[in-house]
Amino acid sequence: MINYTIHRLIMMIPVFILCSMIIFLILHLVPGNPVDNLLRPGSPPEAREQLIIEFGLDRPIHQQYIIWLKNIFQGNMGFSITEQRNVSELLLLKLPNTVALGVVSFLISFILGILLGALSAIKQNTIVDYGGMVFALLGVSVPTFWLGLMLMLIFSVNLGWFPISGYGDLKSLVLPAFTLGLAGAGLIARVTRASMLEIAQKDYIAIVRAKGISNTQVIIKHIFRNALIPIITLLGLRLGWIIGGAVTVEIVFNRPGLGRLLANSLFRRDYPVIQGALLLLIFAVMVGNLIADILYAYADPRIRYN
Amino acid sequence: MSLLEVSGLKLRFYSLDGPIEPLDRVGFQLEEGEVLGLVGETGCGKSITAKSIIKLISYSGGEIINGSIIFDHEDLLSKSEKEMQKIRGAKISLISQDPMTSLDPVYRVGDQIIEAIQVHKKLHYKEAKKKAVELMRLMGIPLPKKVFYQYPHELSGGMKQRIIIAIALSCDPALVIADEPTTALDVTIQAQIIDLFNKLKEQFQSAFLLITHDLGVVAQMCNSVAIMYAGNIVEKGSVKKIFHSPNHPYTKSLLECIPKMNQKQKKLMAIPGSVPHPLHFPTGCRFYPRCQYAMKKCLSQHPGLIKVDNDHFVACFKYSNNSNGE
Ligand SMILES: Nc1ncnc2c1ncn2[C@@H]1O[C@H](COP(=O)(O)OP(=O)(O)O)[C@@H](O)[C@H]1O
Ligand SMILES: [Mg+2]
Repeated sequence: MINYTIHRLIMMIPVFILCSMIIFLILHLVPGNPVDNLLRPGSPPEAREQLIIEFGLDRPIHQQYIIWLKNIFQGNMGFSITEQRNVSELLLLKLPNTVALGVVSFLISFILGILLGALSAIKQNTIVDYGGMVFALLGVSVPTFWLGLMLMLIFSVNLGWFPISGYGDLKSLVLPAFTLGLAGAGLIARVTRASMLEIAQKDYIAIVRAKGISNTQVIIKHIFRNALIPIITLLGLRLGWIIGGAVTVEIVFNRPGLGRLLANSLFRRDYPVIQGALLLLIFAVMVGNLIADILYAYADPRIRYN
Repeated sequence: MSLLEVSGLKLRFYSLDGPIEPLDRVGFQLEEGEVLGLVGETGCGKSITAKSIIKLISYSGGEIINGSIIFDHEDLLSKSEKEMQKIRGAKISLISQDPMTSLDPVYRVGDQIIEAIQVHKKLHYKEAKKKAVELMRLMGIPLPKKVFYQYPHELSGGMKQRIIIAIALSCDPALVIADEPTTALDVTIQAQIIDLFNKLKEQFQSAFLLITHDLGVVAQMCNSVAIMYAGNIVEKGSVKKIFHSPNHPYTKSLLECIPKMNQKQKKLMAIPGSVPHPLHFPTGCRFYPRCQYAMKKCLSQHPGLIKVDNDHFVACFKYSNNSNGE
């Protein structure tokens, strides 16, 4: 297991480098030049040339890439073109808000999703099940931005329970976290329900019941425990998804965070910031998958990582 | 009175194509310490009979709509789920068809035996473990202390089946229902498991309901046999009577299908056709489409079990005609 973890950590390096290459290439293939946003309209062409040279944008692309990558491994993510700040400083400033949003919505989606899914499975084909599944279907199919706006309309504008936007305190986190969490909860509820219903029909569950174990114990110790395995796979995947979803939610709720920073930087073609933010996201997804794989091995003894 | 008396058992499932009744008028009895074989082709309703006896059928969506199950002077059908939990594992236990899928993959096999012990007996983990290892030794598992800590996927089919038998016998049940305990195993392992059963039969004094589609196994292990076809018992009696003077055409064909060593057979015998799905059970005798002796009466009337002898019953009009004629 420890060997496997080390192996996986080492394997992250080439994956990371490959991802960085793709990010870099795609960004530089997008038309538009970041310096255009810095120049006042009507500036002389010489000023533009000079800025391009200053940022090193005149060099061949592979050279630019190697310089950038070298710097990254030395902990230097570059300098924001539009914000006049170190990229790492900028990212660190926005990271806590996004992490808070991510963690809380992640918890909401898993706790709510698993409870709802398990309840629907236990009460299969009852009103509870139908209600739960309609909710889950809405959760997966309603677009995040619309859900965010609706929650805002109901709970902020009409009821006045939560602030419309802002950040820093728990109260302002509730609506964004639910917006992001509900979609995940829907998916997880459906997977939990399907998985539990499938396990409930397995031979070994009949054998466990034939031992005289009470229904509650059968459900918790055996059905749910086995149903957990596919849910853990989702865990890794959701982490990446939540960060992607944060872009929309941060914009809708006007929260400063990585997502909004990323979107704004894209509009301004602020290459170093976009690259830095994307790398951070990729790193988070890779770590999420690693954690899921390790949990997976703990949950399922049939899996042996060598 | 017998240890187990099943009578008039009728079962209903609600499938997508409408309700089906895969069991009807199923009845048999089992004395203490007796081994009864329940025999029939795949799909004729053996497993659902087994699950009905310990009332687990509702978990597969089935409903017992008629009949009675008397076990140890108690009417099981009137028992609540809580009361059944005290009986399951303690007085009646189940060994299911496929050892490969009958153990929970995420728990160590030893703990699965302990779970069975601890539901019914207030033992500490340590004592329960001692008993579990002892049981494993009794089942002929080599290095039981090591196997105790292994997971199901680390064991062979034969070893898993031994663990499942250990679980079934852990609380000295009066009745063990073994649903095709050897079908999924290799022939050599089958022989070992049958030997094990024969040994355990003496040691535990439990009665066995042995479900199988192999009459060879019946000959080696059982005192009496019930032959099942399409959800009905078509013939039942002592092993001797059934093997030497079978009366039902289905029983006869089953017996003819056993390959014989001393006869030069070019081809293995097989019964033409297959067991119908419960949606398409024929009216009248359910076997008539495959029966070479079918008469007009068989198409419309359902033959009930009639007594041939004190320990022999058959459900066939051909037999009742013959006996009436005599
Ligand atoms: N859960 C179920 N739902 C609907 N029908 C079932 C179910 N289980 C068994 N049956 C039906 O009952 C019949 C007998 O099944 P089974 O007892 O498994 O046969 P056997 O064990 O003799 O091979 C089959 O025709 C099958 O279609
Ligand atoms: Mg079966």
